[in-house]
Amino acid sequence: MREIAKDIIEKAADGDMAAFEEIYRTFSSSVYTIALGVTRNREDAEEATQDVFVRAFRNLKGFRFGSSFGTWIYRITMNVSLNTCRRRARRGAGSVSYDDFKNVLPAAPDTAGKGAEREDAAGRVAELLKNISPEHRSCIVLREIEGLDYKEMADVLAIPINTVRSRLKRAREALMAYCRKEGIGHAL
Amino acid sequence: MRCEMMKDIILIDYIDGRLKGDALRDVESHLSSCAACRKLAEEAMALSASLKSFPKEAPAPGVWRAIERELIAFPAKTQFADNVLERLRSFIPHPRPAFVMATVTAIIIFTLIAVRFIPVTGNIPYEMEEYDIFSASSVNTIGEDGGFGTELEDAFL
Repeated sequence: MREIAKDIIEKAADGDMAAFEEIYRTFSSSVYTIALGVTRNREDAEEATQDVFVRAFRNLKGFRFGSSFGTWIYRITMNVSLNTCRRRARRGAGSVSYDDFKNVLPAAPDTAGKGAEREDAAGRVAELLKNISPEHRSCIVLREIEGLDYKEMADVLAIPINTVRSRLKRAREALMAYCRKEGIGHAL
Repeated sequence: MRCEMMKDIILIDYIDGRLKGDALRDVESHLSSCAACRKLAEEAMALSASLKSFPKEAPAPGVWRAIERELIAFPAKTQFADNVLERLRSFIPHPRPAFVMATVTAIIIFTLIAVRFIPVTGNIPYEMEEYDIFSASSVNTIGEDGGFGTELEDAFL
């Protein structure tokens, strides 16, 4: 998990925009990736990223350094992303197809070949992730994409470690069952 | 049974590289002899590798601009509201929880003592009241000597 110096957080809490921009540069990629993994929609992920940093700025004075700043901002990200999923489910627009996902991915800044490769990988993963609940998806995103350990995941999701383990297991079982059913197999 | 237990270990700790020493050797030994569990482990590994290929990207530059716009507009309207709320809060006393608990306990104890020891007065049972009225009206109240015929009267009259 990424971290940032305490004095930068304190400066940002006092309204220093340059310091807050440094926080944004440090965490925006992780925040956006988590939001994209959980919501599976670029537009929602961008909105969630904006919402996360606005909330973070407004609540920086309340951050007491009791937990790591990374945990705190990841937790806001998870709450905002899960709320976005719930809102979308209520609107009845819960499913995002592979093509939708490809269309909403950002334009590749690097070579065309690498961009297409990355788009394919993201599309495949997005297609897979639609088969599990947002709560299970959030575990998979934190573990597999962000690389958090179980303790960090438990802190971010505010659940016991054993719940993290059981959610990870069920999510993996569901994803493997889907792969078998669709004949995706080992190649994925 | 052993495969069922192994399944849990494979799908959590083994895939996430959390096993060490004897625990790891135990799983690897089982995998070398059990084709079903070996297949499960391979599938889980392939899934994990595929999920890890999800690209990590920065959000579009417009996102920071939108945040900046919102935050520049934010202090003027909300810091004022915060200051007003802060001042209002300072007028409201914030008793400590221990003090609140002690006060509540004292009130409860005082109420219990009052209920137990203070006698109830002024309430005459309905039956008694009715009886007295009945007796007073039914008795031939005034005797020939102008008295009520009581022993007390005899003593004085």
